[in-house]
Amino acid sequence: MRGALMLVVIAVPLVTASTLASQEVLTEESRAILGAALGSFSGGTLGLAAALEPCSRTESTLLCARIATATGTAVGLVAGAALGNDHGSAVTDRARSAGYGALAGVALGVGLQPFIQPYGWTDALALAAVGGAIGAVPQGSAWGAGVGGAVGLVLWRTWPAFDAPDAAALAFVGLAVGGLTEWIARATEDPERAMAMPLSVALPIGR
Amino acid sequence: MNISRLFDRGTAVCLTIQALIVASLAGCATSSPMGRGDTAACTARTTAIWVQADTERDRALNDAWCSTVGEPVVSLEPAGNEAVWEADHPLLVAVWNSEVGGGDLVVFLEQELGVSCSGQARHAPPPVVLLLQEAHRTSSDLPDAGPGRTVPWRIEPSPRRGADDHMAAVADRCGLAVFYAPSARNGASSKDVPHEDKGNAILSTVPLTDPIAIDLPFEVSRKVAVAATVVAPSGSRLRLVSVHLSVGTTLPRMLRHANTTRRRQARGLLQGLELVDAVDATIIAGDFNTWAAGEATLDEMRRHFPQSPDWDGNGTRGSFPVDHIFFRANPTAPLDIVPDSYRRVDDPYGSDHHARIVAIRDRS
Repeated sequence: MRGALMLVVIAVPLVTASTLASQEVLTEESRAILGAALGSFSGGTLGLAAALEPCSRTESTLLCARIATATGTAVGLVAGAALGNDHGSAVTDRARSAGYGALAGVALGVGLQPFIQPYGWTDALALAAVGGAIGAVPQGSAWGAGVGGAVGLVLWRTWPAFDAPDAAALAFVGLAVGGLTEWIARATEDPERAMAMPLSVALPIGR
Repeated sequence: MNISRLFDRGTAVCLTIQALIVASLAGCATSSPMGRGDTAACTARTTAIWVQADTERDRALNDAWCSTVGEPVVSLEPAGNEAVWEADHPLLVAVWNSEVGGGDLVVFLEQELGVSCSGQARHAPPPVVLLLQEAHRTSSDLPDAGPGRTVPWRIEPSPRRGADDHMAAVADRCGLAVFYAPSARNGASSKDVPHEDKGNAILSTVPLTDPIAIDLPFEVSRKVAVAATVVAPSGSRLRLVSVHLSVGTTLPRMLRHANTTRRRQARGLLQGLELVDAVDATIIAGDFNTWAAGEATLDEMRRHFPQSPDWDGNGTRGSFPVDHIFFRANPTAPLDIVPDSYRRVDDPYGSDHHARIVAIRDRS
């Protein structure tokens, strides 16, 4: 009963938000802002998830995690804004996909409830957030996690110094790299977009 | 659309979001202040010095969990033949997570540490200190505690030793000094299962002094480290600490604190020990629940305990390097680790953890 209630309370705003995002009520500008917000949230969360295990082995654990989070946020922000600016319907697709990811996350959270103690609303919400971040870029995340996990598995079974936590860490790093790669790929898939972002670098040679 | 205008407005919104994400991490320190627990709910129950994590959250949660367990056991003089730690006989220190009755404590004491529990020993026992985690006590005197967030699920290893083999009963049977401070219940009260609590304990064939209980920063369950002191032949005071850190925490805390659960608890332990009288040497040993030998928690412990033995590459729970012994001594103290004495006990004796043993000698 509690689990079902949890699902309803979390699902309603998510479904509402993703439905609104898919309507034509959004202006071009607001789609760009939505893309930037979604990209920064997704990228930052993926960056943090990738950092959890590797950074726990560094002296400056928090600084390490902050750098990874900020990097993911920045990449996601720029890619999301560009996607929303130049390809409005694509960003609403990402928003809807993030909503599905969040629903999957909270469903997983509710499903895990009998096996994890203590367990509460905040855990389900956190899983929804992580699910949303992954759901925004599901293909890249899945590929990245799959490749990272597979490489980790092979190393774990063949290299004595490489243990199960290392394999798990590699899967999470793959998840983040794959997800961020998908953000970049989606933002740059339209050749005309490169012209819309006139970025140039001038080397001061000969001055 | 004018892209520069877009980024003027969009970036402002998104940088705010980014700043909030980064700030949420920046606000989460990896240490928690510690204080003398003169007002802790558990203080009145024992003669031990009490030190506790001193944030409002830590105090409230630790006190709530404390109300579900029984009183600490403080019996500092061995009831049987008292061992004598002499200069030519090192002190054996063992650390073991006995899995709430899964491990055969009596057989471990007899076979690995040479302690006789039959009551027929003619000679004085060897000087031995056992630092236990997941020690348990079975007693009808424990308070009723129904299911709830302050009562963890019951750990019921299979096969399990009899009810007479809980930590306090074994200490009594083997004539050992004992200091036990329960951290939590082992399951809710029920007609079908005995009332039990669990936590860290110190069992010893040599007399113990200065018992200290340290309520660690609360992550997902209460953890109380216990410490006591033994006197070496030279008169040097060696403090021994039994600790058990959390294996994980809630997902929101893990994200907010960037997976620094054990580091925060380890720092709490180190800060807590600074609040009590200094001694000549210290051993901290326990189940650190570390996933990797390179975890920053272990690096930090090694920095504070530079004379610690190197990790030998052997996991103590499967391949996971979770159980460790750390050692430090003042330059003037004639105490050190006997070379090559640090080892993993290959037989787990029924527990899901292997024990570790080290020998401490007095060079005086």
